[in-house]
Amino acid sequence: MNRSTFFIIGLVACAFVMHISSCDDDEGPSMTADRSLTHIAYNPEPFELIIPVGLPQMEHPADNPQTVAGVTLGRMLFFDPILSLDSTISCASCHEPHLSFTDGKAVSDGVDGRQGSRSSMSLLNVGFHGQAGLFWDGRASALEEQALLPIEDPNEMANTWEEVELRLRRHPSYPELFRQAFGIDRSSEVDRDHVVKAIAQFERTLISSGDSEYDRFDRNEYSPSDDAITGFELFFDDAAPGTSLPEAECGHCHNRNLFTTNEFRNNGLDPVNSVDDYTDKGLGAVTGNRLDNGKFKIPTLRNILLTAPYMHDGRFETIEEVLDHYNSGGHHVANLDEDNVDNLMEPQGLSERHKRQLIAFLATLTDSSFIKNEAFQNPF
Amino acid sequence: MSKTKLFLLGLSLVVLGNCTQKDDVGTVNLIFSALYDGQPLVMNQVVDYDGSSMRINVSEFFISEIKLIGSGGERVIGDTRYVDFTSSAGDQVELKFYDVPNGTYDVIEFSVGIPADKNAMKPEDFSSDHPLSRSSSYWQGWQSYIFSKLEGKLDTAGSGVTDLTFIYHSGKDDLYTKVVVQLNSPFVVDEGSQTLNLAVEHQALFKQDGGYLDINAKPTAHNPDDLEYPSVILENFKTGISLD
Ligand code: HEC
Ligand code: HEC
Repeated sequence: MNRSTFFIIGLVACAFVMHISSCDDDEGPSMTADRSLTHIAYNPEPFELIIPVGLPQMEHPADNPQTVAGVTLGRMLFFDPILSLDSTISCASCHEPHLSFTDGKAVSDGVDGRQGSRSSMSLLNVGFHGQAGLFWDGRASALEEQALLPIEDPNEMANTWEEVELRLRRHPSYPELFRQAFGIDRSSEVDRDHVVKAIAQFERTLISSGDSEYDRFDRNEYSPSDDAITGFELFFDDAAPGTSLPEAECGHCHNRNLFTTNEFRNNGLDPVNSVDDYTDKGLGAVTGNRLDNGKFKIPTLRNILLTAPYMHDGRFETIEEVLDHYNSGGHHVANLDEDNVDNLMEPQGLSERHKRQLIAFLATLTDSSFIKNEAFQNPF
Repeated sequence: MSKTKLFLLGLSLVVLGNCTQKDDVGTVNLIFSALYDGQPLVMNQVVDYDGSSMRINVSEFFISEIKLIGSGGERVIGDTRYVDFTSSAGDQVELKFYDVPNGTYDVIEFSVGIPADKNAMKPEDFSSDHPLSRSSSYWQGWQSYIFSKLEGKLDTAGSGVTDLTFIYHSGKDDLYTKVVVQLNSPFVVDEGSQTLNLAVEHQALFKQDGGYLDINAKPTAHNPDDLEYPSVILENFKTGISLD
């Protein structure tokens, strides 16, 4: 057998493999990293987002319009462990749909069980982050930029982008999907830029359904329990006329309808003498401004009863502990010249009954249609 | 390319150029400086409040319908902007207004707050780069944007510890407050960029009946039916803002 016959046989074998292998077969034989894709049609079709009333418009970067093929590809990449060093961890390992895209752990586990120092974040409505940075400390400014980071984070997927690109270029079916989503001509053109764009397109579909009890109440279509209504009044400092309630102040920071203002605040979790003493400096480590130390992103409270443990380091196991924290007023910075803990953090005088009522209200934010949405589940 | 085609291309470039070229407008930098008793106000540092120690740590407000007025009439130079001393690096906030018609002006006018038509809208109606998309500046209980926020701490016991937190937020259509500032010398806008300096004297914002607001008596003002303190503060913006 001379070389060229050998080559042709190889090619035929490859084509055969390509024919039989499917997307869920990551370990399957791989193809050459550079093959032509132009025989596949490229007809990008805009994706139609459904946004319930009360939420803002979705903003898409000009260079990453959302398409049906892009979202489909992004969903596969999001759930595919092929992105991690040892093919054990996908984005979804730490962002599971049934937990509103968190992982139920105080601090997330990466490959080999390695741990970082922070708790996973819900991706519900993450596309509405607006001008605010992503992560607990705001260090990424766009979803596309954010998605570059977990791949190479040693405590998360611990891979390299060169390796990910190679795996995807050689993969029996991904290059075709990249062609459909981004119109590339050859599999060798698959790169990290396409990967993060597709993932971001998928993430922008993760929008709350508008079916939660709260949303239906907000549209006057549903009447929650009396306790939940009182909880609402406590949450938004909005006691019914002629009645009096303590102000739980939650709504100032977790304002409707996203239940976050997308700002960074210090809610007084740790007793410190100086702002330099915070072990995790949060926003301050990113901006370099000391008075930002201890400030973290205000997370959404939609689906909050599904996403324990709570806070950036998962320090509170239950929602009751969270309420005890707020009710106590938290901890201010002892050096008052640099006390950057929010003015709203003051003892509140909530009774046990008030706390139960607040929790009854938080329960109305549970969005089962969101977590059960077929389009958000593992496609493999 | 034929000569006619070249000519047409040239012509269209000239036409386009003319359409986009604006030679009768300039840029105005409006700089707000935060003062307290005539001195630069640094957030969270101790100042004297009627004999007690006070720290102001939040000072923010919307301005709307921003106009320059001169012999040639009045020009709206901007609709709504946010003056945020809380998160500004120093004691100054700089706002830029582009395409301000050339001319000579002697008054700057704006209102603190949000005009009723816009105040009937909500943050989700605006794109995230618009000041009215700030959901932290909307209060559903009032069905209104929060026009201004003034917060801080007061030493009520004379112990040297600022023990009492005060939070004064204002809002609702009735409190929309017009501020008119007479410019000393005529302010000339030409093609370049000009700076206009305004000072916000925070001590003046607390004035009431020849004295100062009794913070201890009412440290928070959230109740939509009790906007006494917020009204006083907003009224004080009329004299609290002046040429710097
Ligand atoms: C090992 C667990 C883990 C993996 C794997 C992981 N994440 Fe995360 N994710 C986290 C943690 C923890 C945070 C918060 C980290 C921080 O603030 O420093 C986070 C934050 C985020 C955020 C910011 C959300 C916000 O509201 O600011 C996004 C978006 C996100 N992850 C998407 C992804 C994507 C896309 C992938 C796959 C490419 C991925 N994550 C893989 C654990 C993980
Ligand atoms: C001053 C602004 C502010 C107020 C007021 C406030 N929060 Fe928060 N909240 C935050 C910030 C900031 C975080 C994240 C802090 C961190 O992890 O370091 C947070 C985190 C949380 C979390 C954890 C979310 C998660 O995904 O881990 C819950 C639950 C919560 N808040 C509920 C409430 C409730 C209920 C109230 C009213 C009793 C309230 N908050 C009042 C700013 C605030």
